[in-house]
Order: sequence, then structure tokens, then C-alpha cells
Amino acid sequence: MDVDFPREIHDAIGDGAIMENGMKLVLLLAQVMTLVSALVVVLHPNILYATIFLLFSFLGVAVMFVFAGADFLAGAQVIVYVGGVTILVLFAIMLTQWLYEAKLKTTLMKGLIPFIVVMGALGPILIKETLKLSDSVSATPPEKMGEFAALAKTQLIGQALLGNYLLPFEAITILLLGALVGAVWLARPE
Amino acid sequence: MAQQCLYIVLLPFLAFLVQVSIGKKLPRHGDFVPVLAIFGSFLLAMPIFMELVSKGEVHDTLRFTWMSMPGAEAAGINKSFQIVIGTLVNNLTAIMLGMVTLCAFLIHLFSTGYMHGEDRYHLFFAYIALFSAGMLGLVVSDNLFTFFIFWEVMGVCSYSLIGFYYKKPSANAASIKAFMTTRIGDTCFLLGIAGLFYVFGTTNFLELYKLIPNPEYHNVTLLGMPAYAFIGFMLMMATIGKSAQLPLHIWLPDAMEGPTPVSALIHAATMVAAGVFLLIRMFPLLQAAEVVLPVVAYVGGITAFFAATIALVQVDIKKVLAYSTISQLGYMVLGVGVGAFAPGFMHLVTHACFKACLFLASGSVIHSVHTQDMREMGGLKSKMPVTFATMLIATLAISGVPGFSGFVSKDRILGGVLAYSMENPAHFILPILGFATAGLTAFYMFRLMFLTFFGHARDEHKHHHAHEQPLPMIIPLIVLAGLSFAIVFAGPTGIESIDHIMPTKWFDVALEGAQHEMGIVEHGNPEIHHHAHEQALIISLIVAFTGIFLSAITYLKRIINPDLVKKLTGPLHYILFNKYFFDEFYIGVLIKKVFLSFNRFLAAFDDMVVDRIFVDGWKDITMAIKAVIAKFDDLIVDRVFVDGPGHLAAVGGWTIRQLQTGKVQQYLIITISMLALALYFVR
Amino acid sequence: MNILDWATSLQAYLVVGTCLFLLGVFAVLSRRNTIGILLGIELILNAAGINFVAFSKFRAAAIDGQVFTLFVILIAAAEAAVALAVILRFYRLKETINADEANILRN
Repeated sequence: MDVDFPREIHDAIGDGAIMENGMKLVLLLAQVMTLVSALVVVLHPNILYATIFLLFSFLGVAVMFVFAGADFLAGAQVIVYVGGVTILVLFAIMLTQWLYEAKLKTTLMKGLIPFIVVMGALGPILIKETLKLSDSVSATPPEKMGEFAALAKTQLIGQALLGNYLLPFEAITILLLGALVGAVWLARPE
Repeated sequence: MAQQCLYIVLLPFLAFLVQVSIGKKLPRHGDFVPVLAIFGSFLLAMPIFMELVSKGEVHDTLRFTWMSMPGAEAAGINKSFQIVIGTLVNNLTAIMLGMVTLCAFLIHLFSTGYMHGEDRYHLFFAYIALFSAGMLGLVVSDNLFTFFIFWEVMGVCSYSLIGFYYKKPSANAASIKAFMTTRIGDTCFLLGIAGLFYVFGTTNFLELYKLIPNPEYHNVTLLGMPAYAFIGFMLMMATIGKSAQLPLHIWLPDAMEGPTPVSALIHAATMVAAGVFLLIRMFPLLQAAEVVLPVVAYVGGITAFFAATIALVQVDIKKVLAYSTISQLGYMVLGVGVGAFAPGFMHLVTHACFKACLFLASGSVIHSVHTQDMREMGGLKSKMPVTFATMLIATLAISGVPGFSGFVSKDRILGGVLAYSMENPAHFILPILGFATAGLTAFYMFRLMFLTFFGHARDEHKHHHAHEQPLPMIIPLIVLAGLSFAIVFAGPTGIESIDHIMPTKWFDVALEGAQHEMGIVEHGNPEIHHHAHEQALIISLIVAFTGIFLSAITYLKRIINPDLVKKLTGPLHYILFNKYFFDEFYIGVLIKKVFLSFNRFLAAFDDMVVDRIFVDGWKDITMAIKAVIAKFDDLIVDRVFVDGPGHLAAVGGWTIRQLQTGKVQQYLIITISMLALALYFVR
Repeated sequence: MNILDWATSLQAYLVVGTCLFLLGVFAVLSRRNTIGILLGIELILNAAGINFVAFSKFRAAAIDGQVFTLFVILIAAAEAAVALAVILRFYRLKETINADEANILRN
């Protein structure tokens, strides 16, 4: 087969061409779901729906992670984003429950200038540069990618966190602690 | 073997997890889970211990890298930052494993009876299981990092268990006091570990034993002190905090607010001994530091003596035992301080057994008469025969009667102290403190026995209700009393010159191996040592029996009236009864007077000197200069130079201000447009 | 190249990432609701994560990109907690979470 899936997926589907195309279709659908859901997040006037669709967008990204050989990250993505951040946002929405009464809709006028900036200026140049970049980047030889796909990633991440990335890792823990204490302090009752 | 140690630690920890999560729903509130877990640990520890006894030596290590940072050299740290942890099984570990698992198991068993029907019964077992895991982890640690972690785990458990009766305000206060007081020692410990890691780049015991004699480290300095002395003093402070030595001993008597099995396990047998264990593990460093050991010896000697004097007059049965614990820990520290490291360790082990027995027996008494005040006991001998017999054996052991374990270890410590003072006559006070304490110990322990078990019942009602305890509480007492006989550790009597007939030498062989492993050289004249030990034997026998005799004629036969003695020595009794006013001193003087008045002094200094002279003085000078400049400023600078551009800027500013809407999104729109623009130009 | 093969290529990952980023930026700029802005930021962070993971697989064949993504996820979590606390605070102060009302810094 010409495309290297991560070991787990590879084992699951065997070598059949139909199954392989099926898996590719899953990836494509995940990508489409990610973008479409993100579009809803951006455009839906009701913030509650936007949050729900954010969840689907995150799930799509998680599927993309699996196909890029980052199964551990996919798990972290689902746990942290879907289980943590989204729920947190939903709580915040419910705590500021005026939403059901007066919806803070994005007015057309307010959206107009950002639309021009993003679609007219930033968008084209970024897309152009992205395409140029992905053409110019020389991909890793397939055998090396296959080797990488076969590695036990979770173990490697663990070793990296307590090895090369020890200092950032410790810094992150302190940052998390500080952020959570700060959040509790900010949201404390009067 | 080293791998086995992981399971020994993990079993009680798993029991802890089970207890906190589902303990309440299990039958009997799950008390069998920790009991079985610790029994499993005991079974796993036994092969290691038996191998030590049969072969005279065990040695095994297991090591793995916990974290490493390859780039550390570049960051200016002289050694590559790498923390390697693991387990170490050597002679000391094996003995401690045997002692801790056995004591912990027996006390778990005892607790099933003692704590029966208490509120939060399942949590009690969760805490002591976690505590056992902590203590076992500390024992098998091969480095100071994990040693410190488990040290703190025990601290936390101790805190929760002292405050177990959380509805009692005194228990809450005691738990906080214990936690805060030991914190002083723990902070010093952490500093000591940091210093050690800085100097040697490792905290692994075996590596340290190899590195410490190396002369190139002797000249390293830390904070202006020789590194060895700095680290040594910091480790000594850790011991002072954890093992309740003067002047940080104040938490241990208050810790008796916890349930009695906790006092037995944590505040007598194991946790408080961890401080001494630390000194023993790090003995080569203390010895190399030279200045530290005499200080350690004096701390131990003074603590032993003062705690013993306080114990003379206490009326709470657990307080007497608490002060006796402090006193005995002082003995161990004294032993380590004079270089009698093997007897110090031996006393740690023997003390753990007989003190656990004493505490459990006192718990049995308290459980049956529902009071801790010895004045309300008396005459319990016939009511509780097993408790009486076991407690008597343990009392004989702690008093130093030949044939019992306490005699062997205490006599050897005293021999070491006497030899030390013979070689250094300037330290003559140390043996005096040691022998005096031995006499006092015998006196107050028999006072406790006589007041509790002999004579007539002073409270008929309570006496009437007293009863012997159920089997789970009796078995631990019997086993621990059995371990209080000298024959377990050394010959049948403990007197070396007699014991040729039936020698049991496993402890000495094991300790010699440990000494060899640590690279400790015995210096000193063997002639003097032999001589000193013979003299110490005679003196300690005399003082012990004098103490028992005096106690008997005072409290048993009542030939000397204790109340009369109390009246005659009024002020002294008052001071002792109030424990030398240590608590009052700390709160009344140290905190209220010294710290507060220092604060006031600083405030006054700030007000008078900094504010008046520097701040206001400067003000006066500058005011004068200002008056001159003001004129110039007003006429020329202001009108022409300032106002002119000012108006210009005001006009410009008003124009730009219109952009400042305060709305973050508009700013972002500008930012991103500029970014896009920049991208166009860059490409 | 058919579209199914394209989906597994580096280009697909990068394009999805860029589009997600643009959508996020648009949400941040246009939403009147502060929580909506937060959702936009989360999309941007996810876009960064996709890029890291994609290059980790297709270019470096090494784990480092994934570690960075892990850091990104953690920072996003911390950021969400703080941001929501700020929003709650803001709501108590102004009885609204309209971003345009947060304009004390004006002029």
C-alpha cells in the first residue's frame, strides 16, 4: 500500500484496497467535518450551538491526529478539549444565562470589516503561502515515515517529557497551577 | 530482592486507594484490606530479612532514571541534571523492613479492635495504610529525593491522624502544631538535599559513600560554610524536627491527641525513628564534617535528660510515654553523635518494639477504663492480666534490666558515650546526662506501672468496668513483648562476658557489614572501649535498679510520700509539670515578644529614620532648589518650550485619540491588516 | 491525484490548518460575544496543533512536534480557565459579556 497508516489502523484494515480507500474517506470526512463545524462555530448566532459545533470540530481534529500517527495526542485532545474546555465553556454560558433572553448576535456591519480583512487580505496570502510551502517541503522518505509510524508514541512522549523537554514540562505545570489558582481567584464570590 | 521492595511499598498504597475509594461500602468498612496488604508486605519482607539473618549480608539495587535534562551543562549547571531513583536493599534496609512491616501489621491488627465503631473508621485505615507505604518507601529508597518524598508523605499522614478526632479543638490544634513545627526541620532537609546535589551531583547513598571520603570535595563551600558542615547541620535539623529533639520537640507530646495505635505506630515506633534513620544513613557525611557530630551528641544528650525529667511528673499515661519516646530518641541521637552508630541503630529497632508494646498496652488500658489520667487508674493488675504482663516486660526492657532488649542497646550506647568522654575529657557531661537519664527512665516507667496496675483502685466505677481486651488486641501485645527479650537481638542476657554460652550475633554481623559498606573507620583505642563498656555496664545496672527501687518505695510501698516530695520541691515540680514552659516560651516570648517587637522596631525605624531623615530631609533640600528653578522654569521653559510643542501634541493627540476606541476587536482588526500588509511586502 | 489520496498528504493537513486558523481569526474579530471570541482562539490553537503534528509526521518523522502540540493543548486548557474566569468577572461588573462594552480604555 502506498500510504502509511499508523500501525493500529494498518493492523485493523489489513491490505484490502477497498478498506484502505474507506479509511482515507474517513480522514477526508473528518477534515470536512472539522472545517464545516468551524464554520458553524464562527457564524451561528446562538453561542450555545456554536459551542456544540466546536466540539465536533475538535473531534475532527482528533481523527486527523490519529491519521498523523499521534494517537496519544488524539486522546489528549478528546479528554482536554471535549471533556474539559467545552464543558467549561458551557458552564460559563449557563452562568451568564442572559443568553436565552437576549442573543448577542453578530451584526452584519460588525462582520463586514473582519470579512474584508480576512478574505481580502490575510486569507489569500496565507493560502498561497501554504500551498507553496507544502510543495517545496521535501517529504521524509516513506520507509522512515513507516518506521516512525510503527513506534510506540506514548512511551516516546513520556521519555521526551522527562528528558529533553523537562524544563518546559515543569514550566507548564507551574503555569497550569498559576492559571488555575488565578482563575479561582478571579471568579471568587465578592 | 530490590524489585520485591517495590511490591512491599505498593501493597499498602493500593490498600490506601481501595480504602479511600470504596472502603466505606465494603463489609466491616474494609478494615481487612489494609491488614491483609500489610501482612502481604510482611510476608514479602521476611525472605529478605531471613536471608540477612542466615547469611549475615544482603545487597541488591534497582535503579532507573526518573528525569534527565541533557542540556543542563550548557545552562551553567556543572553536572548534567539527572535524577536517578531506585531501591536499595542492604543490611540496614533489611532490618528496618522486618521491623516496620511487623510493627505496622501488629498495629493494624490492634486497630481493628481499638478503633471498632469509631466514626470514619475506613478513613483511619486508609491513612495508616498510606503511612505504612510512606515509611516502607523511605526505608527502601536508595536516594534522598524519594527519601524526602516519603518523609513528607508520612508527615501528611501524621497530620491527618493526629487530627483524626477532628471535632476536638485540641486535636486540630495539635495536628497543625505538629505539621508546622516539623516544617522547620523539613525545610532545612530540603536545603541539605539541594546542597548535597549541588556538591556531589547525586543523592544516591551508595554513590555518596564512595564520594564522601574523596578529599577534593572537602574544600567546597556553600553559603560561606564548608559544604560538609552545612549539609550536616541541615540534615541534623531535619532529624531534630522529625525525631522531636530539643528545641523542636514540642509537637510530639501534643500528637498524643491522635488515636493510640497511631501514637504507637507513627509517634513511637516508625516515623519519629525516621529522623534517626536519616542520620544513620548519612553517617559517613556527618563523620567527615567533624564539627557536626559533637553538636548532634549534645542535642541528643540534653533532649534525653530533659524529656526524662518532664516525664517524671506527668499524670497522663500517654504523655509519660510521649516524653519517654523523646528521651529514647535522644539516646539514639546521642549514640550516633558519639560515633556509636551501630548501638544507636540497635536502639532504634529495640525501642520500636518495646515502645510499640508500651503504647498498645496503654491503649488497651485506655480502651478499657476510658481515661488517660493515671490518677484515676490503679489496681488493674488482676483485671487485665495479659496487658499487665506484656507491659511489664516492655517496661523492664525500656528500664534497662538485663535479659531484655533495651538493656543491650542502651548499655552499648552508654558504653560508647563513656568511651567518647574518656578520649575527649572535655565532653564529660555527656555520660553524666546519659546515666542520669537511664536512672530517671527506670523511675518514671515503674511509676507508670505502679500507678496504673498496682495499689487499690482510685476510681471504683472505672475499675469495675475494666476488662481484658479481645484477641486481635492481645496478640500484638504478646508478639511485641516477645520481641522485647534480649535474646532476639543478642545473647540471652545481653551482658557480653556471660553470653559466650549461647551467642546470637546476627545483629552485630549485619551492622559490621553495614559499617563496612559505608566506609566507616572505627578510630579510638580498643583498650579504652573495652574498659568503658565494662564500667558502663556496672553503672547502668546500678542506676537502673536504683531508679526501680526508688520508684517502688515511693509509689508501691508508699514509704516516701510522693505528695510530700512534691511539696518539698514545689517550684521544680511546677517547672517540670509545665514542661519547662517551652510552649509558653515559643508563643509568649519568641512570637509575641521577639518577632512582634522586632516588627515594631522596624516600623519605628522606617518612620523615624527612613521617613524623617532621608525622605523628608531630601524634601527640604530639594524644595529650596526648586524655588530657584521654578522661576526660570515658569518664565522661559514653560511658556516657550513646553507650551509650544504641547499645543502641537495636543492637536495631534486629539486626532489619533479618535482611533482609541477601547474596543479590543478594532485593535485586532488593525493589527491583522498590518500583518497581512507586511506579509505582502516580505514575499 | 484523486481526492482520497490528497486527503492523506501534507498539503491537506496544512490547508485544513490554515482554513481553521482563518476561521478562528474571523471569529475573534467579528464576534460580539466574549465567549465567541474564546471559541475563535481555541480554533486558532487547534490549527497550530495540526501544523505541528503534520510536520512531525511528514517532515521530521520525530516525536518533538507531538510534544509541542501537547504543550499547546495544555496551554489552551489553562487559557480557557483564565479567560472564562475573566468573562464571569466581566459579567458581574457590566451585566453583559458584549466585547464592545469592554471599552474603559477608550480615548
